[in-house]
Amino acid sequence: MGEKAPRSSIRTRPDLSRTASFDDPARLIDANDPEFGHEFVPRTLKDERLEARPYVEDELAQKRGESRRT
Amino acid sequence: MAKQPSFEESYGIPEGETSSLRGGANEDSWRVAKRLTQVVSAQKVVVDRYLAILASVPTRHLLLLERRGGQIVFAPTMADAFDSLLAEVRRGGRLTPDELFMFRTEFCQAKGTEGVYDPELDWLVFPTSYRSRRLERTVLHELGHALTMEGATARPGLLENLPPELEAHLRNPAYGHHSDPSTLNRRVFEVLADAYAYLLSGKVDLLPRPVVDELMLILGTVIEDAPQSRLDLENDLG
Repeated sequence: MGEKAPRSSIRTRPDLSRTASFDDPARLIDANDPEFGHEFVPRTLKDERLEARPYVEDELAQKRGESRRT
Repeated sequence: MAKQPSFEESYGIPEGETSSLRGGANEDSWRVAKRLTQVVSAQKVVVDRYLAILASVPTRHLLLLERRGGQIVFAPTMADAFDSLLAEVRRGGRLTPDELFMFRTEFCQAKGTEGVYDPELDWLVFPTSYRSRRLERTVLHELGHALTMEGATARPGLLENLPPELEAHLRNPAYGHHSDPSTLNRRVFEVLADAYAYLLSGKVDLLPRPVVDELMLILGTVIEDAPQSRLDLENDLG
């Protein structure tokens, strides 16, 4: 896991708060919807997809000798 | 007769910057985007779809994010991402109960949240238990925030003569009310993030010139101000 770089002074400006983008909730596609696209295959580096990547949470939990995932 | 400068030339836009999405994916951008990716839980099926969009972004923009320690985080919900161990370690502490409640009730599927940029964690966060129908715009908009927020100078002129779609976006109450002094900042951040999405979608000519000038100034400045990130693909992608 990459370490967070030191914050620049400008990034700690109080007016730089988190921001979200929104759409009509009815337009979002739920994972249970067939349109969600479970079958999607990227055009690039098909042999390096994320399936083999361990979950970050698992890595952190192992380091701490605990598990928050059930 | 002298050749008329192209739209890109007249705005000082580097070749290939505008409408880069039309050029398709490139392996370098895909590899950097993948390095930036953190997946918080098992719901991973949609991540490749996001990465395919990021693969069409100029590689130097993703390298800039990487050099400053930014990350692209995928989790079932925003609350899952921001309440994760990954966030706790990065933040140096847990969310307060009020903050967690806010993520569960305001930045959630029921409120239509498509993506979040958090400057404190330098995180772009996208959900995996649902997704936006306009995924390309969502990804580019949040990346636009990550690239432009620090360098933005809020001034009212950047909110004038905007395309109707962008005007409508700014009317969302989440971006402030006229009586709130922080509204100008928040709306300018939104304009510049969307301007980045317009740029990469080949629609930059729909934007007013002051917005394009500000965007190009910021993009030029943030890249020039990162001398250690020479964005040299020979070194970075070896």
